Amino acid sequence: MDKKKKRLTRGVIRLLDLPEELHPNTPRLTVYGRNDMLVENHMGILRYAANEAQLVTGAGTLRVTGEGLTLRLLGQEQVVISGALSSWEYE
Amino acid sequence: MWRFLQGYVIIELTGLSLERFLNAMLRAGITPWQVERRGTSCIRLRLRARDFRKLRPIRRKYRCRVHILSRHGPVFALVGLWRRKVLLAGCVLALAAITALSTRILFVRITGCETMDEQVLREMLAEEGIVPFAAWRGLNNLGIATSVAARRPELAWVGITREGVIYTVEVREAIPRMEIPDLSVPCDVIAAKDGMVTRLTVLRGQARVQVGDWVRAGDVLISSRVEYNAESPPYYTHAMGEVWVARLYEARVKAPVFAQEYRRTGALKRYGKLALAGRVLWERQPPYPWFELAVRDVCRWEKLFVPIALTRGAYLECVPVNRPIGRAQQEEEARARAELQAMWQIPKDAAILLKNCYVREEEDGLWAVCIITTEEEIGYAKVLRVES
Repeated sequence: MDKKKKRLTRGVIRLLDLPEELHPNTPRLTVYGRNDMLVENHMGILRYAANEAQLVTGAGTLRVTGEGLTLRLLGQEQVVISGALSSWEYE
Repeated sequence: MWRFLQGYVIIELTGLSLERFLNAMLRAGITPWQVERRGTSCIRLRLRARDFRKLRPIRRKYRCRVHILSRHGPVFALVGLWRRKVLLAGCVLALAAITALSTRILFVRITGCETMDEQVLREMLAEEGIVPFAAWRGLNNLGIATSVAARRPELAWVGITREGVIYTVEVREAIPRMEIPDLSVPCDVIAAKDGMVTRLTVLRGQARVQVGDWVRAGDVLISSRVEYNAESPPYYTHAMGEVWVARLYEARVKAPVFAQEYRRTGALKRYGKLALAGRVLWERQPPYPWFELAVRDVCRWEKLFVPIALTRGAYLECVPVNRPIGRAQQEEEARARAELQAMWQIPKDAAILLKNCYVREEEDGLWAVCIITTEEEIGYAKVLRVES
């Protein structure tokens, strides 16, 4: 049922040519310079260390690497990761 | 800032499944910030003080140890204060006293009283309700000022302003009225000082001097005895008029050979002054006979209910040193001192006509001479004795 609902929402969004970010489970990443990254619509933390953070998102696991990473803000829907960011990728 | 006001704690989580613990916190509605990894099994984070209690069920479930590192915010300060009952009572009393006193007049300042007795004015203000520790609410400052000014003829204007608990009464004194002379009493106009007559105005009586005459103190300038001609008998009147004379004021000053200077020794001691509502409550006295005062900073809290000013600085010790000076500087110094001495002798109401300052060399050194010519009104009325 849940999958059907998601598929229906995505279909409506595509049909109406609306932006993809309107989909509630689509993660949105905003990077400020090299030191801050805002991740919205995440679903939880999978792993957190000083050089790596893995977040569960609707598009898969987001892996952010860097040095001295801190979760400057940790909310139910958004995370701000600070530190010397070096890369991020979906697994 | 807002988080500080709400109160927050810095905690350290120790355990094996810390990520799960964090996710559980998010599900429970706890939003931590500044999450830092401190080791393989340790995380440090901050959270609101009221969220801390929500951690208990999560802590049990995931078997993590929570250790509070520090508490921040006024909430914790108040909790600490709650244990110190006497201090809290003192604070409450102080607050109550400040609140009560802020409705009262604490200081009454009077400015502008030169000839009038300040105490008399204070008594008049007290009658109108402006007295220390009286309530200022309900006082009509404009009405009181008008009433006080109207009651005393020597007051031309009175202004009353209030700043917090300080009342400032500003006074402008009236120019004293001239006394109306009794014209039926015959009197002469007599010279009060020596001088050469430069101007003469006779309103009543007969002039005994003319422009260019030298007069001495006590001479009759305008006589009350008026004679028209030899045939008609003389009559006596109340002589009136103004007689202006030119006078000389001279001062001689020997030129100084040395100039005295004050040099800093390098020693210094702290200076401090505390003033409450413009009154100096405490001031550190100078520790040296000769010193320079260097004020470093002045902290003013003017908007407080009683204005406070704290001045800090240093007394810099000095020693007097005589420095030989050249001829030009000697002359300049002597001339300035002679001029100052001559000016001191001149009365307030005199007009300066001419000023001549020069330096001359005498046997014992350089001397500066300053001669100032002034014009002054010197006549005063002297009642004539009937038998004379």
